Amino acid sequence: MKIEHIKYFSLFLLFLFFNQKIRGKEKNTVLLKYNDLSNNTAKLDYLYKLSIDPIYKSNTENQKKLRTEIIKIKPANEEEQAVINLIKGHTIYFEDSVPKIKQYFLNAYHVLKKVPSGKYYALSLDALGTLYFELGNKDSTQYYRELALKQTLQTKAGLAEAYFNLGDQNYYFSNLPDAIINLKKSVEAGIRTKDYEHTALAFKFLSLIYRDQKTFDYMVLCDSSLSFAYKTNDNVQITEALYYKMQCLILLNKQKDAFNILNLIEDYNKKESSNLLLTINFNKAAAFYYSETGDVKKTIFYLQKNHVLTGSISRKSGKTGRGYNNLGNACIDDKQYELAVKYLDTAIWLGQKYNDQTLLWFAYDNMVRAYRQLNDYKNEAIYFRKLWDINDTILKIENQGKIAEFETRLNLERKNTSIKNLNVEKSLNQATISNYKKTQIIYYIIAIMMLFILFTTILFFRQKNKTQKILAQQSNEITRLQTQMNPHFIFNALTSLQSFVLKDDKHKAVSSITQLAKLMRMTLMNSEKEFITVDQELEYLNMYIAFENQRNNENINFITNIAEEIETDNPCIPPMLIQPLIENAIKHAFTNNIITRQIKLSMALMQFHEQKFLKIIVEDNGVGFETKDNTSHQSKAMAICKQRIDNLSPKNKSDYPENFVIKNLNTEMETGTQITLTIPYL
Amino acid sequence: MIRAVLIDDESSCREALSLLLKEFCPQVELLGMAGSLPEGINLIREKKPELVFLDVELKNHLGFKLFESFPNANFHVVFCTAHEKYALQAIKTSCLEYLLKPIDPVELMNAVDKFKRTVNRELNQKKVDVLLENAGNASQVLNKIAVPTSDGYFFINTSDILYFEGDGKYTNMFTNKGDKIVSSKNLGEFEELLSHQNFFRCHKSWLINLNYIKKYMRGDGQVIMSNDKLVDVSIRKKEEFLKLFDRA
Repeated sequence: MKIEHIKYFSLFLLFLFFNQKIRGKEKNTVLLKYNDLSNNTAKLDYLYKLSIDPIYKSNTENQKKLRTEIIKIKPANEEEQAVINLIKGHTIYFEDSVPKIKQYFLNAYHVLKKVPSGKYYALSLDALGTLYFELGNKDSTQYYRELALKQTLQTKAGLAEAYFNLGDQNYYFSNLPDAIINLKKSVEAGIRTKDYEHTALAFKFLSLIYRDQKTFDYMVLCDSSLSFAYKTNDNVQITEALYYKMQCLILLNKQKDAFNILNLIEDYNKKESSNLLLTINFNKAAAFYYSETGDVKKTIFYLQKNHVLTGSISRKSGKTGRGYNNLGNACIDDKQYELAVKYLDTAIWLGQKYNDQTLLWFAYDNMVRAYRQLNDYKNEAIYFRKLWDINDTILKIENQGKIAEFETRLNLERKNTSIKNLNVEKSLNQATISNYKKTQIIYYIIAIMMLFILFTTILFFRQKNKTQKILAQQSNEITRLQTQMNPHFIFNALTSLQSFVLKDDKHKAVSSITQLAKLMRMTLMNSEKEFITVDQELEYLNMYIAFENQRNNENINFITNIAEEIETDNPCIPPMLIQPLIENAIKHAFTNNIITRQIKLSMALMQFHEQKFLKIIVEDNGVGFETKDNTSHQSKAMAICKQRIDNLSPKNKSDYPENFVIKNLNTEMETGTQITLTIPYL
Repeated sequence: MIRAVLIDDESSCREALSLLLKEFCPQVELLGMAGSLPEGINLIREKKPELVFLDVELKNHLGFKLFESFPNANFHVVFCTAHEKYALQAIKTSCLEYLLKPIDPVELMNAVDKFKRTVNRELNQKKVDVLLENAGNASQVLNKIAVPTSDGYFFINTSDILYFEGDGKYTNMFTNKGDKIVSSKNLGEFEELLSHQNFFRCHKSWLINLNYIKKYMRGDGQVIMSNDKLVDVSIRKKEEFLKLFDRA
């Protein structure tokens, strides 16, 4: 049987070869344009288009030409080499072994993967998907087609095609729900991107699916497919759609309308007789029409004609196998049983190769019929057994889904019953427990309350801790800032020393250095204490003003007026509280037109709500507070001073006199500023 | 001779600077000295100096106010300052010259030398604009900074900066417009300038604008910036970094 098969096949190929040789000549001219192209990219684009052109590449000579051209191109980089491999794979698509094609495609894929933005990456994915599709490898097809889809989703071009391919594959592997989803997406994308070819195809497949399911008015979809096919202006697409419509019409028993459409298809074919695909479509349609109307002779005529043609332009795939099966079927009807056996043999061979279970089932069935007519009981028995086996596998595939569904349902039911049982048990238990529970509830409430109290106290203490920490930080910051000398003062003082040295005024330089040293030492010592005595404060301020007078060559008069009742050795003044106010006055109060400059410091005690307070008054005869600009430093010094006094005050403000008052002394006669501080007297 | 005046409210400081100039920069001709801002403005109008030494904190005024009287100043300014933290910050961002008191003679000579080498009015005006924009802002937010590059200065709003990447002595600055600017300042100097301006030094070689963080990846200790750049957060800075967002 096998030898017979090979014999037949080689004869067939021989026929194809001659057939193509004639047609190949017309197409050779296209290579002429190619020589005008200058750069590699354009050349590759052109060659790629040729390599996937079904008619062009079906001619072996054309393929040889393509290969010689491809070899001539010197790839500039890895990517171009990959594209070349891709094209090479396509050129040997019909001739060489699958592993070799796969190797080319995989090589192209692995290199192009690195630059997924390039258009050839998606094309390489598509090539792999198609190859696996024809090999009947469902998982790999799915994988590569989905990748291709993802890629096209990113690049936006060819989206409809990618969705269609996915849907086509889903349909082929009987995954109808996904097929419908993907085909609908393809329709959407096709209309949006004006890819009418794939819109038409997707409509056709949708219609096919609904026709099989008998759930939808598939004629509507069929007409949509046709209208989009017209939009493509591509006669091949139009005849395809017409052919499908004809099929539908025959199914609806509208033979007359169907015949009209067949004539339409024939017209298209006549108009463009050189177009092989149109001829194929016409033959297909004619064969279908005549087989349905019972004209066996004509059916066989068209089927045979078509087989020669289709075999030449597409790889022998499961689809071609179906064609052989149809041919065999027709031959049986025509009582040419031996010819039928030959055709069916090829169909079975292809069906086995591409793992097309449905095809095998039909082919075995036809085979049984043919041998029965030939009275060859042995072979009939063999094929009957095979038919039986395949029946099992098909049923198995169909039933697997159902079994899985039943199993999940069963599991669900089991779970439900067990839950019900548990509920019953629970309610029984509850009844016995409920009495016991009532007493328990009281304990629960107590426990919860205890927990609540514990929780809130923890929260409370935590919050308290936090605020305390923040407060401590703030007061630390303030003391750190304020118990230092104003750095501005120190740097300016050092500048004065510099000028004394530059002037060679040794006397002033030496005395200024010792004065500044004394001031700094006192500042350091005082800053360690929380409070200093009035005596210490006065000594410090006197030294400070003397230093300022010397370094600025000025004569500011510093007058002190301390009430007698104040114990001058009582530590009651925070260090560095008064100095910034005096520094401010020196710096900002006196302008050139004030000749007798004077700063007066008075201290007195006062009683307020049975508590003793120390009142400190700093007064100058400068320009007055309001006329000065509030520069940042000045207001900052004041703000810090006020903050420190506030920190000394008791929490309850009503028990407390106003602690920080700035007053303008400007009258017609005199000018000046008065600042009054009030702190607790300890 | 370089024609110069100086404005300082402390007599001893005026004296010190004039003596230093006489001693170390004989090429500077001191045309006059002023003790307050109004006096200084009159002095400049009268003498038309090329160079002004200006105390940052004059009596009752900030020295920057001088520029209000001279919107198109045709003189260069060298600021003198004792310890005005925020004013100094503004000066640093503008890349104008400044001297710290007490004045170091070497720095003084450098400043005068630099003035002699580069007299570019237009650039100076741009720097002054940056200074005024930042100094006039009471909230101490820096709007604009001048970034020294190999061939001049790049003026940019701080809100347009995505992040800085340290590269030895140099720093690469990336902006939200996709530009990359190489600066001759090191990353530490930028950190000092911008650490209070919503910028955070999350790594030895990264200073990022917190406004442009898109995502923080807890596991890897990395942040994704708005331009999808992955930036490391060093282990030591992680806690501090996360605290910045706990408050919000």
